[in-house]
Amino acid sequence: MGYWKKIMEVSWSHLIVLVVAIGIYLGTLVVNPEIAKSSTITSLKEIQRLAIPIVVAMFLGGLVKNLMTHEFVSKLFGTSEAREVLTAGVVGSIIPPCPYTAYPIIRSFKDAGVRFPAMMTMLITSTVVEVPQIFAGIVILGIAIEGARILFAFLSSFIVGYLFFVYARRREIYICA
Amino acid sequence: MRINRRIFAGFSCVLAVVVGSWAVLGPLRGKIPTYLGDNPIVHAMIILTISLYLYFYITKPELAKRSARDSIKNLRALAAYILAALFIAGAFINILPSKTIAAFLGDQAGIIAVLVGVAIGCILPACPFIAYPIIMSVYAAGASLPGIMGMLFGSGTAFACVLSCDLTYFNSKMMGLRLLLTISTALVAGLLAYLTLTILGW
Repeated sequence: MGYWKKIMEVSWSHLIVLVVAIGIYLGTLVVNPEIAKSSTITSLKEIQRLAIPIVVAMFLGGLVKNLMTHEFVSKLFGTSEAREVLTAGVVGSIIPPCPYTAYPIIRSFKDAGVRFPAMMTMLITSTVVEVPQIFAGIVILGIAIEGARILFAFLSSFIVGYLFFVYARRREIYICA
Repeated sequence: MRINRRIFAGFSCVLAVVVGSWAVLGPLRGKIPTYLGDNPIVHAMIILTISLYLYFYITKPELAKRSARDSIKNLRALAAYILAALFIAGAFINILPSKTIAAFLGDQAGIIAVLVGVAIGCILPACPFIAYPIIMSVYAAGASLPGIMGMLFGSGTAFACVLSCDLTYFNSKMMGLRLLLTISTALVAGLLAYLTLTILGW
């Protein structure tokens, strides 16, 4: 009971997933019980196939999160602006992808004096590239799709990050609003 | 003595990963129960995880315990949503009309599939354990590879928890700029993937 109370107390954005799932199954149960039955069977098969790998991926993610300390990633930064943007892209893509974990880290880099274009690049890569999601990606998507996701996301992050860096330098935008 | 223990633990774990990965990718391929996943890479990942935890348990027990505690906490907090997402994914496979999927996300949609994919991806949850099963169910229902790549690139960029973090740690201006840049990045990545797949004749 306590667990369900805890579940219900989290943000509404997460509750949407639960509401949508319940809504879909109640709806299909009324409209077409056969589809509801086949959907349940498909879902149970998926759960059986993915349950243990998902738990393992979460444990691996937990370890990576604890290994990627602020001190560890700080060592990677250089002194030149261009290198700062490049490093920011790499750092942003390897920090834990959950925004509740990533944002305080990025904010601390900003407070430590990382320039605005570099910080924006970190925000981009932490939202789009998200290398630590690789474990979930391999389990659910397969290694080929996950590899392509990281490769193209990484390339495009650098393209957009560098263009923003050039724009910011021209407009002399260095200080975060 | 401590260095020796670390070297011994490191060597044993590397050996376990190498031998274990060779076994699951080679002689044991296809013979492992399906509840451990059906992908040999996943099996190698399971061996890697166990070995890493053992290594850190021997060399840095506090780190291993903290990581395990964090993971269990995370798992407990997300279990209901992951299950819900897997049930949504299962329903999508059976419910989504393949004609509609093909029209907007299928091969015939061409570059539109990337744009639609990014737009759908933006509003999906940021957590991969919730978003990825849903995206894979759309793929199974008939979406094209560029379409689901677009969904993956856009995944979670405009989800409520990310927006709330934008506002909590920065401000609304930053949120707008972050959205503009991340969605642009997702679109560029989707277009790059589309061009590459087209050139490769996928």
